[in-house]
Amino acid sequence: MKKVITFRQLFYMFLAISITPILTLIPADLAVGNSSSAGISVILSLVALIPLALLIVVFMKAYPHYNFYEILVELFGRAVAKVLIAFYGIWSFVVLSTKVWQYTLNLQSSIMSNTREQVFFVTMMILVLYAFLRGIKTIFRFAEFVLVPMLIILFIYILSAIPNIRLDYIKVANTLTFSELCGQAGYIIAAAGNLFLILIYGDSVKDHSKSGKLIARFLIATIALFLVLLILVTVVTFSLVGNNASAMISTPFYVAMKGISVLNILEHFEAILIIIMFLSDFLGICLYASISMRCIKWACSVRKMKFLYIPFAVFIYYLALVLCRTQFDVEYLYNTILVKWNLIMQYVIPFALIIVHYSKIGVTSTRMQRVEVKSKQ
Amino acid sequence: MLYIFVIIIIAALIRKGKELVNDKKKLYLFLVFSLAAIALGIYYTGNPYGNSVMESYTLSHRIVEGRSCL
Repeated sequence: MKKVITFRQLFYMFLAISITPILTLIPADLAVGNSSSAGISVILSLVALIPLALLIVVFMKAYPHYNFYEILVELFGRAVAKVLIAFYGIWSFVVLSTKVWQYTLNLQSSIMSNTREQVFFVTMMILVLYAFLRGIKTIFRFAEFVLVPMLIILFIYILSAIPNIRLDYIKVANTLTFSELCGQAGYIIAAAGNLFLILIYGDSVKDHSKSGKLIARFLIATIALFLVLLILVTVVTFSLVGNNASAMISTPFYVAMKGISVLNILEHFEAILIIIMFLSDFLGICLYASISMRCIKWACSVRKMKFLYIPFAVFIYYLALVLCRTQFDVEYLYNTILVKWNLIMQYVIPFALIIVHYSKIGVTSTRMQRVEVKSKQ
Repeated sequence: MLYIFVIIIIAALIRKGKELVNDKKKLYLFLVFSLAAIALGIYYTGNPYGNSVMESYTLSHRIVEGRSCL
């Protein structure tokens, strides 16, 4: 594999694909409680996010230039690695189908309510196929190119919303129990778990030699930016729409921004948000399609995958249509099944891997000591 | 729509024919995904207004819950 991606592009990609969940899914999920409970949930989510970041640093240092499959082969052997990768492949197919639906629903619930979902599916399919023909490098560069303008626009939205904030909506005491708060934190962790996907592209990263401090610095900055953006968007949404209304809307931040004006001159500029969400969804779909392709490639030991693009695109098109038919199906699939499945794939399995990694280090080091003692004797 | 997709898949098969014939693994992969896509397509177009997988799952879940309540 050619070294085509930089660390910066990897982390920018993570932030870019996280923008849509931050604007749509997470505020709606956190709205079960109120702004105080949302704040506590964000802090609770750090309990999982910091170990995940450490895990990535450990793997990047211990296995430089290795991708996720090669790490699995090192730890478990080829057969188990292939089974695990097949499991990851199935998961990525379902996530990809859900992402396609979420992008469709975002557009349907905002500006194109009378358009059929098949039209959105086909449009996205053509765009993703075109991006794939240009290569994964182009997709990551595109993420690097669009992230900063997207963040600037979002911060302008948040700043312009400040005069309209109602403090009585957000100055509320927490009413949720600890287990409910943990449940809410689970939604944040499931969305932030995409950070783990960095390991999948471990073999494509250019500047591994710099590693260590560079990865840690990027990771801290990325997680901090993710959480700051999440807190700001959630607080602004709750303070404008209220948490009860936010829980019932699929795009609460978009609805909150409808009543915002800048200096009483500019109004109804919420359409730009749709473009931001579209770009984020496009990158998310591209990334998960690429991960699916990589899983198939590793599981079946095939080198080039261009021949599979069209059958795979048609397969995902119909898989999405067969899995869900309405918005309620998609919400049920995501909230009830995918959140837990994401936690297993992005946290439980990687943490099991790190336990195996350390136990192997222990075994090899004791073996080495025995060999040394024997050689001295 | 399914007919269009089938035509596109056949066109892709013809275009990549040489590469696929040389490598049997690629050919099988191509066929597996194409046939899975067509099967899902036939299932969907034969029953466009029926239950989705998730809807059937939630329905059966509710029926089980209802029975356990009774």
